[in-house]
Amino acid sequence: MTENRMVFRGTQELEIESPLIIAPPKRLSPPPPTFVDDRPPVLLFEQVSKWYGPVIGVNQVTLELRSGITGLVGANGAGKSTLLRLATGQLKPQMGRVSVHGVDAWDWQAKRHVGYCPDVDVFYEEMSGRRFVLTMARLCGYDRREANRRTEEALEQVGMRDRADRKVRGYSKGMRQRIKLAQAILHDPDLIVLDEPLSGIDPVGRQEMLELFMKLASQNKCLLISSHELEELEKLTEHVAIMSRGRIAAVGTLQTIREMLNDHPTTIRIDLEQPRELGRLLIDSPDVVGLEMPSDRTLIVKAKNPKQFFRTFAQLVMEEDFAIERLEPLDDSTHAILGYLLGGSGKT
Amino acid sequence: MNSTPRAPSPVRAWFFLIGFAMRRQLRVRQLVILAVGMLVVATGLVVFVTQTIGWGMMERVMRPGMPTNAEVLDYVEVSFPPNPGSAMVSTLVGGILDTVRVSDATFIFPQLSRWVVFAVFVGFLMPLWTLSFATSAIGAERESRSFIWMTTRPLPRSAVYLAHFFAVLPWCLGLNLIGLFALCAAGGPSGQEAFRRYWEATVFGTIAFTALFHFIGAIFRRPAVVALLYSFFFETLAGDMPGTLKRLSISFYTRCMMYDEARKWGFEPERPEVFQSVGLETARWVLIGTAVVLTAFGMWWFARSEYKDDL
Amino acid sequence: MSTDPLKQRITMLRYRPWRGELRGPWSGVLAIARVSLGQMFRRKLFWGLFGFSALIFLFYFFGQYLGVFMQSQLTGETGTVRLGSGVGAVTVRPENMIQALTKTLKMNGSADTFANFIWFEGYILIIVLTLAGSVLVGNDFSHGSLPFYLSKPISRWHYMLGKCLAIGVFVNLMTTVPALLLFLQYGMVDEWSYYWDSFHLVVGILGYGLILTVSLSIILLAFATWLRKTVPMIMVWVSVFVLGRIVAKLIVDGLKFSPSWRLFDLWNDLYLMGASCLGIPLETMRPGPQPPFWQAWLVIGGLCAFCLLYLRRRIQAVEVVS
Repeated sequence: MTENRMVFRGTQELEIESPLIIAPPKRLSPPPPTFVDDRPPVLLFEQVSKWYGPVIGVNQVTLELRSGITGLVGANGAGKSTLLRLATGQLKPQMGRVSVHGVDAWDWQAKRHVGYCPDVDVFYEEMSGRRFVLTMARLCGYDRREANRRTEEALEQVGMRDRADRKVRGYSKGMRQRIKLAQAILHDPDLIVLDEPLSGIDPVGRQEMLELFMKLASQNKCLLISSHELEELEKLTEHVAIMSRGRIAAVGTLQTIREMLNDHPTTIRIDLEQPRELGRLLIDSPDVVGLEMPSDRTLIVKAKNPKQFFRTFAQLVMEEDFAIERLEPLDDSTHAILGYLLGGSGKT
Repeated sequence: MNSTPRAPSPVRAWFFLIGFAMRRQLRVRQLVILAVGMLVVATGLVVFVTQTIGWGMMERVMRPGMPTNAEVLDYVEVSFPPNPGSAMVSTLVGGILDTVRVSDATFIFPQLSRWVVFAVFVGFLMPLWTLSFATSAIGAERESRSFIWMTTRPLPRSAVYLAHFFAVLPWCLGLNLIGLFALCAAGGPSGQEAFRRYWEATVFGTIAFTALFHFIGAIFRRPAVVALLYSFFFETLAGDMPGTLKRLSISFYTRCMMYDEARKWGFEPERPEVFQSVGLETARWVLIGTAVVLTAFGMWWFARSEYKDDL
Repeated sequence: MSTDPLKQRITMLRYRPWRGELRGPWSGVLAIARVSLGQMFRRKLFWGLFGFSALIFLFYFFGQYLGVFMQSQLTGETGTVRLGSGVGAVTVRPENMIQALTKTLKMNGSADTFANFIWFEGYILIIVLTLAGSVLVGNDFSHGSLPFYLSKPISRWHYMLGKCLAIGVFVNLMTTVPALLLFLQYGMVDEWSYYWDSFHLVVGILGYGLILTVSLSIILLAFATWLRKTVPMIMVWVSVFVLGRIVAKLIVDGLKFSPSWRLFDLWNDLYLMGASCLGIPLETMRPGPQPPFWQAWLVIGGLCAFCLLYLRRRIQAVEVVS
């Protein structure tokens, strides 16, 4: 039997070194920003509320973004698009204030710092992609030479340089998304707001886009990405803001949010030869709230206080010499967290 | 993006937007083709009348089937030949016939003005052309939902409004002036005189109409229909009413300018006591003032509006 | 689905499959008309325009009432009548006012009343139909909702018929229905024998309404299918009805050409057709002279036939392309 080693690294993390144990998927995101900065935040929502007639779209939202990638998730009608439109200065809040680098987002000068990739699929269809991006560059106020240079750079970054001379009406959905992204980044904004940027893009293109987002984030830009592709978002960032019914239900890393949900137990799958024996021992732990055996080699454990549970579990396994074949948290994903927060399966 | 950026200029962006918006008017080729088509039809009609019976009274008939007025005059002349025995009668009849023939020449200009310039051009073509282009400046962007590209640029919203106005104004002015020129040129020498007299009123009227319809385009989701209601319902109704209600109508001041220019040709409103014309300077200032006020108000309104429906 | 019989029974209690019969494509026509009406009725602009048309109706409504009232109250009075007292008193000649209402404005429950009323409603109706054309048909093309219709088990002609039905509702709401209300009103303010004596006017009003419904809906559909966008639609639609009238007036009234040239004025042609249904003699119609009724029927009929052929061709083209 392959020897399993469990290594405690401080009190924060538990590493289990074994080729037989499936570790949770590694995230590709850069470390979340932790520096203390006196400059105004890139994007700041201060008690912002927005009504559409009698319906409230955004309800007393306070949110501060400085750099890195922040995912914005929520069910349909949660207020994500309204939030993004407030951030890009297309809507004005009825209460509160939205500011970009301290400047009111409605003010035209704030838009110099904002690049917006909208979810709507409208272009000047008779133009080529290059001409469209160039037009957007000229509308930002660049002279012809600078606009050309920036256009080529932006097209290069989004991988459209060799295909940009075709008319937009002949583009596929993915190409249209890339052109939208190109016009959003050409003026080197500090805040890039992306509304469903992965919608309609094939898996290969999606990976390219994710790498591009990572690259932009590594250039100290702040990205706010609204998406329903939760699996992709998880690969991109740990930092999410979850919206529900116009409010920010939770904001922070997925882990932090998960830990905050003390009333919702973690579900962990454990594969081993003697699940019943392990289960008998685990039931005595005060952190364990439920056990299930879907098969004779699998044990599903529902536990509160994941950190404490894993400590207890590790000790138990070492003492009783259980051969763990598989250890996998089943609901540490954004789907699951979303489901807990919003109710339902978490599918959006 | 690692290169050292050159500072972008909102003024440069604004001027680019004017040019861009001007070129965008061509995208609805149907619009331009229809406008030219209408001009061709109207001009063809004027040419037809000019070349056949003309705008004077000589080739007209009192009722269908009757001889023309020229034939009637010739018949009278033949019926009363010069007669030494009744020289006074002959002289009198001859004098009357000559007077009628000479005065017919002065009848052409008013006829041309009334039917071609006032009825066809000022009453129909000018407001329709201006409406079609001016409401499309912002209205078409909203309708096609491409307006988002304007509202997310680092340009003041009021500047965006003003840029679109300056972009559409040359189109309206060009089309109206060319249209007036074509219609008047088709009317012969009197038509050319009519163009010389009326082009200034056309310019002022076009500027005011453009400002109004551009403003309507920024407020309403279906601006063309609202503008149509104004042009062909309110203006028609108000124009025919006694009293001062007609002074809310832009075409009233345009007509006042035209009547003022044409007074020496004996062309006046059919019922001056109902029309109650204002002076040339007053009409000019009102039209320019209307354009300035509407544009300024439109800029203010546009800067505050959100356009939720278009998102 | 659960295999537990108890749970199955519980499931059946909550859900019952539909046991009806699928209706044919003609019910789809009604559904399309219903949706189209909803699309228009939810627009404030439509109700604003409808308000203007109601003004015209109210003008006739009160005009008729005033005429009958004056005739009934002031008969026997000759010369002048002093209304009011003091400084604000006015002196009127009743017979002049009655003359103006009944003979000049024709607000006397006669065939001319309804014909003229519908004529004046045309000013607003044309604008409403412009809006309807761009909303009902143009939007289906530009917003891509046409495939939703065409993917259902209906033919393209059913789609067209549904739209025509909706357009017909707008036309009748602004012409036939208020004209019938005016008819009803006149009988109530005058004498009940008016209903029997003038029943042929009801037939005439319905006939006029039918002519407007059929012709305007076909023409509008053809234009909307050709042009699709609002502004070009307005240019052509207004040219046909307004420029046509100006040209006809210039040629016939100004240049004294043959009255057949008045056929350029499409609204006048429809007016002639309606007048023939209402039994109005040609010689009494203003403006005069007017072309014979049959020429108006021919022009409108020919135009409708041309539009139908165009629609047929466009629909076939869609099939070939797809």
